[in-house]
Formats: sequence, structure tokens, C-alpha cells
Amino acid sequence: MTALLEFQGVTKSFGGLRALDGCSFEVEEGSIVGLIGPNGSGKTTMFNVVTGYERADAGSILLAGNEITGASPGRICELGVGRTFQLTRVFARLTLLENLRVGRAGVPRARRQELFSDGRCMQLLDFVGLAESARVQAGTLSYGQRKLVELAMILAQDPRVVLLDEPAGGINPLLITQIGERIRELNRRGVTFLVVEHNMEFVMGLCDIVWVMERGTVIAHGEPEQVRSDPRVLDAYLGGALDEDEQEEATR
Amino acid sequence: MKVATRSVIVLALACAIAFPFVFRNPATTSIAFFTVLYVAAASAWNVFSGYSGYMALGNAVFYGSGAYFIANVTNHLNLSGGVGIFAWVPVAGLFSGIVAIPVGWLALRTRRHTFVVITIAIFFIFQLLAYNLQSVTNGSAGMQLPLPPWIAATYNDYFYFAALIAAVIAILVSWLVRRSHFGLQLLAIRDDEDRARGLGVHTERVKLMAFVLSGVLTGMCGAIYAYYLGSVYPPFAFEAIFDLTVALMAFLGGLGTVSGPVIGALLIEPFQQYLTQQFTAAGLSLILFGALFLIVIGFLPQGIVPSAEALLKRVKEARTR
Repeated sequence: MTALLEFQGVTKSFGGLRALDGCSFEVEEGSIVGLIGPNGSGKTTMFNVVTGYERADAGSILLAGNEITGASPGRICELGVGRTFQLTRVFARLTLLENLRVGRAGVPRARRQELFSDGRCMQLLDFVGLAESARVQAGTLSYGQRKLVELAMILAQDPRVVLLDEPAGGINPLLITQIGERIRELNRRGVTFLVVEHNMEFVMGLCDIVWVMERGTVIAHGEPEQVRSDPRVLDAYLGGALDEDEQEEATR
Repeated sequence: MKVATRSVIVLALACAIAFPFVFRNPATTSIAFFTVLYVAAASAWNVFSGYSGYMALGNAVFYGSGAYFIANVTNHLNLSGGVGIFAWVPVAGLFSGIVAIPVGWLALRTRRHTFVVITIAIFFIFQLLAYNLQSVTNGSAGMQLPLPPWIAATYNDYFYFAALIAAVIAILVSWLVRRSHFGLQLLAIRDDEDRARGLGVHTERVKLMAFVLSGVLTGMCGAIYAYYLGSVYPPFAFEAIFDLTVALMAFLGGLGTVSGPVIGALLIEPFQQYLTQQFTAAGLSLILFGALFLIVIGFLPQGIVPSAEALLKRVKEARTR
């Protein structure tokens, strides 16, 4: 297998804070890769840098061997990288069908019509179980349903790789199972996934490979079982990162 | 389009065409002229602001630019009054569209509240320019347009039909935008601009295109208005009340809908014109205007069309139950 997405020494600072500090890792084509780490370890910043919302200070990002560092979010989407947001972002006053049809201004009209045809959009809504609500405004749906709409929006763009920022966050267990199943099914059809998630059970059950970040850099990676028992990971999650006050609080 | 919608459109258009043949009083046809003109202007405003959610309060820049353009053309080419002058109206619109390019490029670097303030600031810059650029505006002395050869009894009719054509064009453009992929991108920008950008919407380009389109349509209105008045002065061409009026009309009818600004203009403009004719003092109409604005914000924050649609939907649902 080859690396579809590759990060080489990516660095990003906000003022004095180094959110990413020479971060390097790769996502193999056709895999489901997990990205975990304590809060503030740089996972979302990583997503923002890949998708063009933030500009990396140093390092490079390659998509199928081609440099995409610094490209605009729209361009990166057109190259086949889709993403969802930690706080779900759908177009609240557009219907679900309309939500799926936003974007892709850069592609020829014929291709766009193919991508956004009624049949294909309805199929995607059906895939996430929301076909009945096709003509309902997205803002009226529950938070979990909006996550599914967001997933369908990304799929409508026909991406090669999908970055999911906490797909299981803040939704009920039934929907979590459903989202997991959908991801696996899409993966079988050839879509690569990079998933940031705090729900360990979900990540460990879903992913082929898990990368662990702490303080802007990768500290471990491997298969879920391997990572789970890695002392560095346990340390990052449970001890090392805490200062004395917090430790005191934790033991109280 | 549904048959019912189509019938309403045909009926409304028939009424609009028949109006000056039924009502012959110049005071009435004057009100009708301004109403139709504002239907066009409010729809033009909605094409950018209603769909994108960017509240432009400086559309008088394009209204005034269109007015001064046609004044300059008729003066420099020594045109005599007549129907032929109306041929310059679309050209005036294009001129306003060209003005809208740098204005939009500048103003659209900001968002939301800042954008509103910037458009107001640009509006005042243009008003000041109109007072001071003597060579193209003749300053506060104003410019005269050729006098049309029409008798008083039919004078308003020519302008009424010119404005009606402008209104039909503006509504048509608004409708085409609303159902196009371009319009969908504008609506997506309204709901979440960064998200839209992330899905490959060229937000800068889409916003500027809509802004310029709005400018072209508004410029046409300004040119018709100038010819109707027969003269152009800085405070009339670049009028702050115009900025507010078109926005209020769209607010009242329903932002981002095709019919909203039309309904808003049909309700507000005759009322405003009537008050001005009856009491001359423009101050009174402004006070009532302010009160109306508060009522809209207070009771119909979404505007008439979306509120009515929601009501209709509830009635339907209740019936099927």
C-alpha cells in the first residue's frame, strides 16, 4: 500500500504556542486511520492545515505524492480531500438536498450535474438514512442527524480521503453505531478515512492504524491493540502531561 | 413552476400593464411609477444582500452613478428628449456595474457588521464626490436632462413602462439566480461562508459577481429616475433614504425570496409616496417609516413571505392530520 496523505515535519504556531511541532505521519490509501491524543495536542490544527484553513509555518503535506501545502480550502476539496467539523457545520436554512449540492464550482458543469444529480443525492441521503427529510431545512434536524448530513455533504463531493473531526462526539450511541457502519461500508468501496475521536471504544473498533499525538507531535503509532498498551500513550493520557496542581486534583 | 404561481404572475403582470390605462390621474400614475421603480430597486438589492446575507446599505452609489451617467451622456451627445433616451438606461446600468467592481472588491474584504459600515462610508464618499467633482457632476448646481416632448396627461406613462420593464428584468434575474447553482452558493455563503469555501465555493468571486449584478440593476433604476426628474442633484442621486428603503422593503417582504422585495415595495412605496403628496413634509413619512421598521422587526422578523409560507405549511399539516 502507498501513502495517500503524507505529513512531513509540519509546524504551526499561534503566537507563542506551538500547536504543531514538526509533525510527521502518513495515511495509507484504502485504510481507516485514527488520530488520537489529549485535548490541545494539535489534532484539529492538523485538520485545519491539511484542508487549507490554516497555513503551515514549515513542513509539507502531500496528497498521492503531490504537494498540497498552502492550497486554498476549495482547491483541496476539489483535489478530493473532504472534511467534517468538530462542531458540525451544515447550511441551516438550505434543504438537505441543497446542502449536498453546494460547492464544486471549479469542475465542468457536466461533471457537476453528474455529481449533484437528484438520483445520486437521494442515494447519499438514503445511505445516511435521511432520504425522507430531503426537502427539510437542515437547521431543524437534531445534532446527530446533522452529523450524518455533513457526512453526506462530503460524500457528494466524491472524495478520495475523508477527514472526520469527532464523528461520534455528542450524539446518541445508536447513531454512533450507524456512523461507524457507514464509514466501514464506504471504506470497502475505496474511500480512505482519517478520524479524530475521543471515544476510544469507537476508534479502537473502527481503525486499522492509530496515530497518537501529544503537544503537536506524534508519539506513537500502530494497530489499536498495540497503541492501547503503549506506555507512552498511557502516560500522555493519564500522567505526564499534567502539572503538579492538576495531579493533586486528579488524585483527590 | 406550479400552475397557481404562474397564474398569479400572469395576473399581476396584466394588472401592472393595465394600470395606467385605468387610472389616468397624474398624481396616481406618479405613485405607480415610483412603486414599480422600487420593485426593481428592492429586487436588485435582494440579488446580492438578500441571498448572500451581506447587508449593503450603500446601493444608492449605483443609483446615483446611473443617474449621473445618463445625465452626462445626454448632455455630451446633445440628445433631445424622447423615448430614445431610454436606450441609454441599460448602458447606465453597465456603467454602475463597472463602478461596483472596485467598490465590491474593497467592501467585500470585510464581513457582516463591518461590511455594513463600509458600504455606508463608501456611499458618503460618493455623495461628497458628486458635490465636488465639478467637471462631471456640475457640483451642487446639478445637471439638467433633455425635456421629453410628452404632454402632462401621458408624461408619467412612458416612465412607468420603462420602470416596469426594469422591474420585470430585475425579478427575472432574481428568479434565475435563486434557482441556479450560483444562487445556491450565495445562500450557502449566507449560512456559513467558511464552510462554503471549504466545499470549493469560490466565495470571493461569487460575492463580487452578485454585488456587480445588483449594481447593474440598481444603476438602471437610477437612470430612469434621473430622466423622470429631468435633473440630477447630489442629494437626490446619492440619497441615504434610498439605501434604507430598498433594504426595508426586502426585510418586510422576506429576505432571500424572489417575491419578498416585490411585495415589500408594493406595500411601502405607495404609502410613502401618498404621505409625501398629502403632507409634503417628508419628515412625517420618515417617522411612520421608522415605526413600520420596528413593527417588522418585532412581529415579522423573517418577513411576510417566509412567515406566510410557514403558516400555510402549518395549516396544511393540520388538515392532513
